[in-house]
Amino acid sequence: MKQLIELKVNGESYEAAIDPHRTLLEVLRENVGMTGSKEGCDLGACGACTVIIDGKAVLACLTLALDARGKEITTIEGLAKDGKLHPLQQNFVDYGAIQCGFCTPGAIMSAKALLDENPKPTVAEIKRGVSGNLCRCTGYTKIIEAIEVTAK
Amino acid sequence: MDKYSIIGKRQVRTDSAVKATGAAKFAGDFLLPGMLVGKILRSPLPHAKILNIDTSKAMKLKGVRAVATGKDITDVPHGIMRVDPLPPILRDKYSLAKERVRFIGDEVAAVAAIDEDTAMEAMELIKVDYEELPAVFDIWESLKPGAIQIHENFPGNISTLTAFHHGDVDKAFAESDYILEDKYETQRTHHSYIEPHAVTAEFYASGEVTIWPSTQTPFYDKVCIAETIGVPVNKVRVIKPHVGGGFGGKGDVHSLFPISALLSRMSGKPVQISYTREEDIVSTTRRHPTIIEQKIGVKKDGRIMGFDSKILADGGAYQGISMVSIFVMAVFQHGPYKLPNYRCDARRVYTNKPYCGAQRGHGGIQPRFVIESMMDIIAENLNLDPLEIRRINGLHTGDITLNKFRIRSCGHIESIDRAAEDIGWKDKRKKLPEGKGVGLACNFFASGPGFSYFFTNPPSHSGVNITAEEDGTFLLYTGSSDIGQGSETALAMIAAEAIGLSSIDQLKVIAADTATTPMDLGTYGSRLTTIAGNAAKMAGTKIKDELVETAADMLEANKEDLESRDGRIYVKGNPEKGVTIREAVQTRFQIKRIPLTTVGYYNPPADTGDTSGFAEGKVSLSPTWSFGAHAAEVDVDKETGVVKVNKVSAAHDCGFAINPLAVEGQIEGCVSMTFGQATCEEFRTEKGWTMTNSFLDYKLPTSEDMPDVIPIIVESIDTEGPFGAKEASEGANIPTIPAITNAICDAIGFRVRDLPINPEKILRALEKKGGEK
Repeated sequence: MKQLIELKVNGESYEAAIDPHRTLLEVLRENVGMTGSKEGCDLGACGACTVIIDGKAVLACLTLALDARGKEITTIEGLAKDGKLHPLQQNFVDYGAIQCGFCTPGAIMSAKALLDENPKPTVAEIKRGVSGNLCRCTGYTKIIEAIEVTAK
Repeated sequence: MDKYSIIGKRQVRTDSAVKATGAAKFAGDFLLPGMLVGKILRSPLPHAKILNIDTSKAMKLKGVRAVATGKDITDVPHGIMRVDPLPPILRDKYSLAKERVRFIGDEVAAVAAIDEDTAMEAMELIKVDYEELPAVFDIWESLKPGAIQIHENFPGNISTLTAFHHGDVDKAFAESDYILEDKYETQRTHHSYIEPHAVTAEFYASGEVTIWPSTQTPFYDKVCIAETIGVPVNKVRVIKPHVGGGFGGKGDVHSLFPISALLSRMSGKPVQISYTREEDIVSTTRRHPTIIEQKIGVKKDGRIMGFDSKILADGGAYQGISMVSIFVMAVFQHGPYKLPNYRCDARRVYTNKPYCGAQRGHGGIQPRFVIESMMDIIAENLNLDPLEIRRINGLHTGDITLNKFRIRSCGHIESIDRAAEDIGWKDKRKKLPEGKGVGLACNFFASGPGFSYFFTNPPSHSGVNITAEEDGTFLLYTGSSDIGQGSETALAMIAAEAIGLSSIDQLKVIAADTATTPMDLGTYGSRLTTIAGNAAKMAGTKIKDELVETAADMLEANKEDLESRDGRIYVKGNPEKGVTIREAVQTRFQIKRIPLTTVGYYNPPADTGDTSGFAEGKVSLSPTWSFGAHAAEVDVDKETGVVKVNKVSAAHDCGFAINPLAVEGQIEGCVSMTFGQATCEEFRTEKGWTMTNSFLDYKLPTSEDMPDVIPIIVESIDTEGPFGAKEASEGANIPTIPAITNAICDAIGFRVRDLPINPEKILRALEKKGGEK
């Protein structure tokens, strides 16, 4: 039986009729129409679906949409303002941290959650902060560099 | 003034901003009106006859719009090894099984339904009657006389066999001062691009179908889809969306592409299929595991005399691209060392397991692990410096190998020197405390294949068209596929430099749409910079020539005296006397009223290798070759057996770095993939079941695992590549493994002979007192 829910995503409200077992990732992609968050592994091992809920980085593929009701959800679509990239996005672009781009939304969201909580992380803390975001293209070097530069 | 305005400078990629915002559309991101979810039912048995498939119950389920089986496709098997005169039997797989399944995960039926839950429920309602057949999981079982035949056309379960003999190897061994025989094993690994395979397809009432697949080879997909669903090739349009990594794993034509088109035709609705990670790992391709027995004979000074190689690869259930895999494993041994006498016997064996194909560093990884390990052992036993034995045997610019590879540029020695210097070789090799060590290994790789294994009569290997717009900017059309490596940006840079633009902002790339862009064979064999790059350079140069002619009229100057650069065409030595490119375009349009479009193309030269083992010698190998060397530093924890790789100094000879930012990224990514193969990745099966079917079981390197990677760009300025450029995306994948294992040997005296390295193997070796050399 479908249930009507309301989600607050990037500051705006969205209503959706969903089966209760649908994950936040599925509802964001299929009902809300935001496909920036990616499904890479279905079980919380790759980080491509990372979003921020009430200030914490969360795996949207392991979160039921129902459990996200009443919370502030930020996705990759919510970072750029008025056509201007968020500093993290800009540095990912400028420092070559993006190759295929499939892990990028999740990696940027993890980095944002890290910097929101710890604005001056050490390199080790940065590596720990994105260790849940698998990237097969970059070897992580330039991702770490982009986050480091943003924190400076 | 710099030699160039655009190339050779760090260029931010054209597609980065759209990827940074989440706006980039990948194959599974299309949301079309009325779109259905497609799902594929797979074989639960490793080997069986299909007696009957009953889809009636599934069809009756509410929300199901189509159910397809092998009866709904043509009798033309799909497969990409098809250039004349390769025999048709090399195409040994159907998108949906007909009569027989050969591995756990083989496609048996497909469903299109209104949502995923309904599709899953429908799959459970499909009843398949199987007659189970004996299965073989081990190559030795498979090779035994009387073993079950997995494919009737391939007696003895040998799917591919390649044999070469150049020179006189037996005589060479007789004349050698020292002969080393050794044996190595490499494991299966999976590409593990973060985007699983996905496709969206829409079949129209006109009988045409458009497909957006996660692919490296849209022009192959087009033909295979058309043949499988039985429509003329020109009715299929393949548009490559953004692709979330491929690494060779999206270069075969995978079943979901034709199946999505079929389901869309049957249902009259757009259909999307997105593989789960488990489906992706189980049913797509992976790197060949090998057993390699190698014999190398040398003179006292380390000069190689004879080289004999026996390669046995476990291919799994189907052929795929394996004929190329086996062939390149054999021939890529001809560099970076000069081999005066060479013999190789390479065989690939069918087993009832997920099948193998190309993965980044295709054909280079396995033999290179063996050769670079043995070079170190030989050096040790002859009291030679491991760097010296690599230098004295190295190829040089101008050399032609025994099998006729032309070495047009060679950064072999510079790569060794710079990698060694960066790691601190002189102060560290054999000088670090017990448990710490450094090692070095070299590489050699093709800058694009010189042959097409798919099309017999392609218009060219790569076509690029450039059109001038009314506002003085340009559109560049290419069929080539950027799957994350940055090739669209590189092509834009090459063309912009050739035209004489001030920035790539004045040129937009439109790519990889089989209906609108000129054909390119695809992304594989590290071919785009050299091959599509030459086509872009030609098209850009033709634009420049046309505009220089116009400018010459405008300036009343001789065109020979004009230069086009930084957005202006001007008199050499008198830059004030000139016009902008925009003015030249607009004046030309005003006077002639004829559109300005140029056609660039590239075909590799025909003199690039003896390919007698492949397609009757009708093919050539590669326009040019990359070189390189990696040096690694490791710490081995003797209590736990854990190997920590601290640093990899990765020197790669890419000829000329069109975009150094991207070349660094390629080198870093290459190292991470083979660091993974060296230390943690292993695709395991048990009685045909894939045990490593998730990212929890198939361990990839994380940001915390990675060593410091120092990319070192070596530029040998090639004579064939555009502006001297060669490949940078695969060769740098190759030396990492032996650099690490050579470092482990320096640290604890243990020679790794099978992969991956794990604590258990290290501890067992340490138990054998002193280890072995």
